[in-house]
Amino acid sequence: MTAHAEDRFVGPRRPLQLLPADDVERIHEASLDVLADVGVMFHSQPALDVLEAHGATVDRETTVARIPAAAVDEALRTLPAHFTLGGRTPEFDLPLDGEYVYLACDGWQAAGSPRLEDKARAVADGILATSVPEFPVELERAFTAIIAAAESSRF
Amino acid sequence: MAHVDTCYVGKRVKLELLSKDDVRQIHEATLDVIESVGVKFHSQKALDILAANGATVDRETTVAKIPATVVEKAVSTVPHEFTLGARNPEYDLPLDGEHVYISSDGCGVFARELDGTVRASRKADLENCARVVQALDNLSVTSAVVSAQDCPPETRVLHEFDACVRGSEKHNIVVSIKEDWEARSLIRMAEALAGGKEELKRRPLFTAIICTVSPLHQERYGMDLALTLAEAGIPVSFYPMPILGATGPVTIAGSAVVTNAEFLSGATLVQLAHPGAKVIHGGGPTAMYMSSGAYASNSPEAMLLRSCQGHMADFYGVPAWYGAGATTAKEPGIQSAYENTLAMFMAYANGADVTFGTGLLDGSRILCLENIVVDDEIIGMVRRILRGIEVSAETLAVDLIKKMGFNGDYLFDDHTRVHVRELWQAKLGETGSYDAWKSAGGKSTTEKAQEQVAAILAAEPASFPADLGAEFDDIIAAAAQEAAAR
Repeated sequence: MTAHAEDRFVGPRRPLQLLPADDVERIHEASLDVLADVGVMFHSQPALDVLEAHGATVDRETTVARIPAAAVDEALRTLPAHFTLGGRTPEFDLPLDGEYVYLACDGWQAAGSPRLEDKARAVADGILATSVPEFPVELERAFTAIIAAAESSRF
Repeated sequence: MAHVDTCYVGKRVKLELLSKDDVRQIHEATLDVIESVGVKFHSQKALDILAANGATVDRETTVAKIPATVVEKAVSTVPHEFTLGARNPEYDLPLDGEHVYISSDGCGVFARELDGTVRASRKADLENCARVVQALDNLSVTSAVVSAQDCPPETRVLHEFDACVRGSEKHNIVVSIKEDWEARSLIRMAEALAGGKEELKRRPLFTAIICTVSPLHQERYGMDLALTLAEAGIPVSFYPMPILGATGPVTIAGSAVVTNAEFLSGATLVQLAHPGAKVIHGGGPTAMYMSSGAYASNSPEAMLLRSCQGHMADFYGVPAWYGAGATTAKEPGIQSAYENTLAMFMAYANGADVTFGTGLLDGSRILCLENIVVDDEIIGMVRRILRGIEVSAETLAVDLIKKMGFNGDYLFDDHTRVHVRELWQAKLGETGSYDAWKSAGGKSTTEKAQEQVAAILAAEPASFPADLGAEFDDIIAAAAQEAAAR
């Protein structure tokens, strides 16, 4: 285990009894009912191909796939319960096993920047000024080439 | 909707911080300490009662070693539910484990003006605080939030009660009472307010906090007082405040034992003297910043330690009223909001019926009225979370999901109309667009809270009957005379 992950260890967590097992089961059953009965719109033909091949009833025009409970249960059987997120350096590898908790920065707003209070801003500026790790020149070149290729294929 | 209904959470969402076995271990360790080390009762009256009921008492050291059987017998007579009365019965508060309330804090010594100036606290600050508590829907209990330092020390407690009940119609918690004769005058005032002895017993208009001294001391004042108050039907909240690693073990479980031993020994005394007396598992145990010795009221360990109280209170079947919200921040803002949010959530999710309380900065020293407005918003959110998630055919709404299919028209359906009022709504926080906030002046949360305080204080206060006011003045004057003659 890396030192970074070790610092984020909390162990088997004290559960907040928000939903008893029965309620979780009911939500699961209701979800299966909705998936089989109403279905879900998959606006992707390759996705519909996969679903159809595994027993879903697919309407190519409406893009609705009705997925039987058996197919969902089958898929759930192959879900990995644990895996590790890699960091750029292995020191920041993050096991996802239910006993560690991590924090990511938020994202996805296209414009504007969050308004931070002055103190928080000062701390953030301090971090930005001091702790940017060196980025290897060859990686930077490779990234630039990949982004350029993606842009030329898009237009 | 009645005030009490807005405080209802039902069988709340619980944080299973301690297992049943953990709770039992803390209980057994507590009994061991009370029986083998004992507790110092600096009151001969208390020692008499304990000796008569089977404790081994050393009159010289004032240590009473109380056998587990005596403690367990005493615990068997505590009432599991009772109601805190209010000047206006509309604000009566059942303590039944299904409602959660918040009081203002106590007992600070400074007040912060809206311009940031910090000065010694005065009686008028208490009345202003009571008026803010009265005006805010999520607040249920007033308190001697700061000391009325412009009043004579002998009658200060009476002036503090006077200010609280004039400013508000809600229940009051008396904080800095120490002499038995103060309690007698206070009971006279409360009887006048309640309309007699029996009515006060039935609907006690105030609760008294009796601080213990950690580790394992019960003050003379406190014990004599507790006996007087219990006899009058006033709920007594024993209030241990051990500090991790200073006046209790540095380990959380160890200091939970010290806290519990101080509560349990006080409760035992009161039950032996007055079986069925109303007692509350109170307390504000804390941590300390070891590098500076500073009071760490809202450090994670302090919150965990206080959380043990809710579990122990559940085990004994008594209400829990313990510290939360005493931020160590020096001004209202980010630190006070995140500390109090976490502290209140931890307290209520761990079984607190009432938290004590909101309104003070700097580790319960400086009154800041606008912080109460912010905490009013926080407790509204916490209460909604504690109510949890109902899972039923109606709430799963599978039929509705099937009917809607792929159309996002839920807003126009009856199901939404029926349940929409169950959603929490912000009173203070910004929820609109950035542009709307900016064009309305771009005010900070603190500025908005200050404006709300100013509006509350500019409005007409709750009316207070003139004849009662005169009676209060007489009781306080008589107490001052008695004090002068002593």
